[in-house]
Amino acid sequence: MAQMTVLEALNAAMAHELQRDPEVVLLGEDVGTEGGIFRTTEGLQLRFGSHRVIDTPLDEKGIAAHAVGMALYGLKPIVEIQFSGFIHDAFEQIMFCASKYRWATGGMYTVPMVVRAPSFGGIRGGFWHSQSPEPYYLHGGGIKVIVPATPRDAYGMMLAAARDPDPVLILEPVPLYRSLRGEVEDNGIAVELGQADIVRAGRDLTLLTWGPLRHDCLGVAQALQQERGWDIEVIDLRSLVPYDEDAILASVRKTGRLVIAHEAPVSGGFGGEIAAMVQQKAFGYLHCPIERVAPPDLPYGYAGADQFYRPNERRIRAGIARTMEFQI
Amino acid sequence: MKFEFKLPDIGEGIHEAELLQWSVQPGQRIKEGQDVAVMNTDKVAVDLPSPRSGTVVSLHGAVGDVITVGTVIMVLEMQDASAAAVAAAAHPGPDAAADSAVPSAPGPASGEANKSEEGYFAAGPSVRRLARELGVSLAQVAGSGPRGRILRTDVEAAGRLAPVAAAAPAAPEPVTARTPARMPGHTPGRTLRRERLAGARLTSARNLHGSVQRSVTTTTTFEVPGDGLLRLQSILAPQAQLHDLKLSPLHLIAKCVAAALVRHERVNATIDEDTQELLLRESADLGIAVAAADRLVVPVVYGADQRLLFDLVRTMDDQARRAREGQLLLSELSGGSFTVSSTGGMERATMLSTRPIINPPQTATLWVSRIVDRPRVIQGLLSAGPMLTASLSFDHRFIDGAEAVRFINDLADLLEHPERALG
Amino acid sequence: MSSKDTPPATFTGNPRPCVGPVLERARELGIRQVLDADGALAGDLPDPDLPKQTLLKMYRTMLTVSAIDARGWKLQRSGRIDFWIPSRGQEGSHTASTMAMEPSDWIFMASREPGTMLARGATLLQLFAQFFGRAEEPLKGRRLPLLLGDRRLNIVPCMTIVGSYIPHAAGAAWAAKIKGDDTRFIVYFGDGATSRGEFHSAMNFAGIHNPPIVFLCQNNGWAVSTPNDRQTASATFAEKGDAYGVRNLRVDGNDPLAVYSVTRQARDEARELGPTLIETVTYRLGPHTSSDNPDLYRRSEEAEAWRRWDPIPRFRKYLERRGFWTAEEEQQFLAALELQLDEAVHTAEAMRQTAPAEMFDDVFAQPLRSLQEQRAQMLADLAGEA
Repeated sequence: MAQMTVLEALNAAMAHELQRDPEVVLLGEDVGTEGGIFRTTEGLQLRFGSHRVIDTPLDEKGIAAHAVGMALYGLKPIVEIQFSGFIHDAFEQIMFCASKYRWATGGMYTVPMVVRAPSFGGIRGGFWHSQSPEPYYLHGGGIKVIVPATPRDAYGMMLAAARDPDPVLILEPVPLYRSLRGEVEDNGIAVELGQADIVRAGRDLTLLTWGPLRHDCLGVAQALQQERGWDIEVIDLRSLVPYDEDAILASVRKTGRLVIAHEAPVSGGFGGEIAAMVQQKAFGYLHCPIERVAPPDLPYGYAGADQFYRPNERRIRAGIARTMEFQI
Repeated sequence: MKFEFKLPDIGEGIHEAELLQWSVQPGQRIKEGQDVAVMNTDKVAVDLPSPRSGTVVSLHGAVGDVITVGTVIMVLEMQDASAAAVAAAAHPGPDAAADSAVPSAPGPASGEANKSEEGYFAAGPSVRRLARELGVSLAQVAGSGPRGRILRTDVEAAGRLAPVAAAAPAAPEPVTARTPARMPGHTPGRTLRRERLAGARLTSARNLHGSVQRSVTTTTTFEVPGDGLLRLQSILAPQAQLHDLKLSPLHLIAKCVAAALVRHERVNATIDEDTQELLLRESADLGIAVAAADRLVVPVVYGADQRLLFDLVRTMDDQARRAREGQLLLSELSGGSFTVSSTGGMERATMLSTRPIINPPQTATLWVSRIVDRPRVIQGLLSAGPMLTASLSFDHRFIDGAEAVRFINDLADLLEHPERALG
Repeated sequence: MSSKDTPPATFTGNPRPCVGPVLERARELGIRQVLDADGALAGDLPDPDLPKQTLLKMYRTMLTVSAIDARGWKLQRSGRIDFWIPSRGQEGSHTASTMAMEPSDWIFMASREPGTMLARGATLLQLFAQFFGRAEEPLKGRRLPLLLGDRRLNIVPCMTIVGSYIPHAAGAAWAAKIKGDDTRFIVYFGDGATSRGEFHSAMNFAGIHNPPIVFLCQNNGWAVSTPNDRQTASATFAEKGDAYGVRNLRVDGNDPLAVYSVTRQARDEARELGPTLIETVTYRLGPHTSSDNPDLYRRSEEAEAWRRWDPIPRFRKYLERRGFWTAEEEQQFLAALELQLDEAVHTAEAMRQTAPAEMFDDVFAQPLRSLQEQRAQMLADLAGEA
């Protein structure tokens, strides 16, 4: 057991896999010699060699595409996209090649690769360095999408991603890289993907989220317990494809109230998909409409946006209050 | 908005009247034209109808009071905007100025929508579901929520009144509990058919009738292992907790009794002493005896055999609570077909048997003990284990020994395997 | 004036004058050849002196490709299959290069290479089952006709988006190199694909990391309606390799022996000397696909002029000159082929269609529960249940 930051946990997981499985390789811009611009892959090229931790040209599409080819042949590439805002050039390769080979080849060829993308807002990064791109990757099937928000989850879920026979997109929580430290058992045991984490149990309302917002939501829930006596259940979904329907439904059947908070803009965000599923399967349990707390449909700005564009404490509180005060 | 009903000049130029009785009570939803009181004017008793629909907020005047015309006798909370507007139009008065701002029909006018954060809808999903469980028809419930929306409390209130006819079939629900094919909807005292006393029975009854005008009570005591009840209780406990309920053996016993009763219609019947007829019915309307402050009261759960278990639990608990608080309605205290009493919660000494008294006009009643560890013989071996003792009293005029034993056999089987009474 | 002399009223094609096939100037332009237009040994490359069996296999495969093409057109035009991608005129370019690879080498094919499948042992039935979209062929009927592949033959079917898979092939080759395997790779793509970003990515990475791969660009003159000089300002496609430090050459794509030779050499040298970009100069005699009408953009004289360089009669003359083939053998072979095609078509057409439930397989290694629910719902809906 060790105390690790999110960054250290990711590094430890990748190191573990590189050690354990000779077919694992890392590629990306500046991942080798420099150890990644965030130092996420620090020390790995020295340890495992430049043929396994590979510095690539500046070409996200090319990086992703070559990783697809490597995976077809039997390696297990872990690709770093330097920022999730840069991932879009690789979108076709990820969504229409990597995610589709198994299906398009009748199961003959598969692509066990991981794409890592530092994501989410809170580092004063502006539009291209604060993105939450998961909505684009949730549609059409063939790739798993995970969003760990704690050191323990970063470690366990990175291991799971590296071992998955299918493509996995891992959106890493940049603002938490160094700021969040926690207990991690560095034992090489992966977390099973597709399970949510009940961060805080409650009876009055289900507050569902993922990524760094997990921590904001927990703070709000704890404060509201003191101030208003509301007993709010906070769920960190952790995994978006597949996602833990059962946990969400069990919670909504208990509380009858659902607020979903995410950092991607509201329209077409995953909150809408979850709301549709919940009204389909737990309709009779709903006391009131399902609420989404998410940014408006516009880009993430630079100055001040971390405070008011990203769902902040006040906006989360407002969403919860609207829901709790709805007469049932 | 509030409406004050002032005692009108009922006619003949009277200027006062005596209040003979109230026909409604505070909290009750009433419709325009519904009788709210009986007034006496010079020996003529007159029903007083309400000019508006709404919920009764308060009644002013005690029975026997002489009330002057023009005095406010009742205050209503009106919810139906259209009724208000129509009434205002029909009866221009001080209300008209306020009402004119209200739209003539309910529904989300775009201006209105800006004012409230929620749109208009008749009832939310969970409220509709509650209505289905209680067998309440939403069409007959007026809402006290924003813009006329039916709230949970409206449905619960409606459910406490005389139950309405069976609601529409439940919508498919992907929940673990089974949705029954039809919901409990039973008018108290509604019977299936009548059976005349005839033949040997009539003779026997007449013989007994000559002595005292009361039932001939015979009591049989029996015991069953309580393992099945305890096991089912613990299996269902987590699910019950999800519904915010705490499951007790009495709940399960009630379900078993209800299931047994519908198989033995004479045990489930009531007696019409005047015509010496047995009134048989379709469903088990089970009275559960509850110890209130200074006496025993027996609220009735209608259609107990048809209710989902958790619905039964909720109803029993709610009735028990209101019984202790003295808030049961008259309609809940009559019309049962069978009574179960349990002193389990109060027992300290182990009660071995009793001779429960039948609750007229029923034909039988059951007392059950606490489930207690006692010595027992299972397959020839002596051991200790949970045992339930029960005493069945039945009216020997209408139920003979063999019938009683058959009933007890069925009941015992269900109590040993209570899961057979579910679903 | 016949309709062949005047372009149709709707002709909006490139108004440049029709030039003769560039192969007429092969020597001048450095396009490698073994044979001349008549199949005589007159090129700058020597006869590779392949065994007779190899030569005959190559030729028969080319004949089969041509016969499949003719048959496929009939099936498409009569509505029995939905779509056809012709390969007429390019039989030599892909068949010969495929045969230059070892069976353990990986091939990433495109959409005009049925000979690649045949040369490695795929049956006619398997091909026609794919054309008809049947459930029992390796791709389970999921792809358009001619988007072929089979792992048992080490042939990867292409991702439909033109050029998108070039770096997949390069990445796979790179992986083999990292693992220390002796596997070589070849990837087929057309002139149009070289404009796409993935071509650039693949070439760029390849120049740096030297994967053991042959990039085989079949320049057939047209990308749908876009001729070479609207595809690139570069004089040739091969020389694009110079910018990336990748060896490159141009070869007469309709000279099977030349194609074989250069591919074989590139393949053999791939481990020591790195990747090669080979541009095969050939011609698309037919339309782009069954949905295309070339009369809208190119003159028929151009295709006519290219018939002089048709690889099949050219190679036949070579074989006859060497005494390996006769007109009688050809006649017999073609007659037997027609019967085999009849049988393959008939059997394939009768094969089982894919069932709706089968659509749900292979999305993930383990189906997600949501997909299983969707499948159950779909099957219930289709069965007419409420």
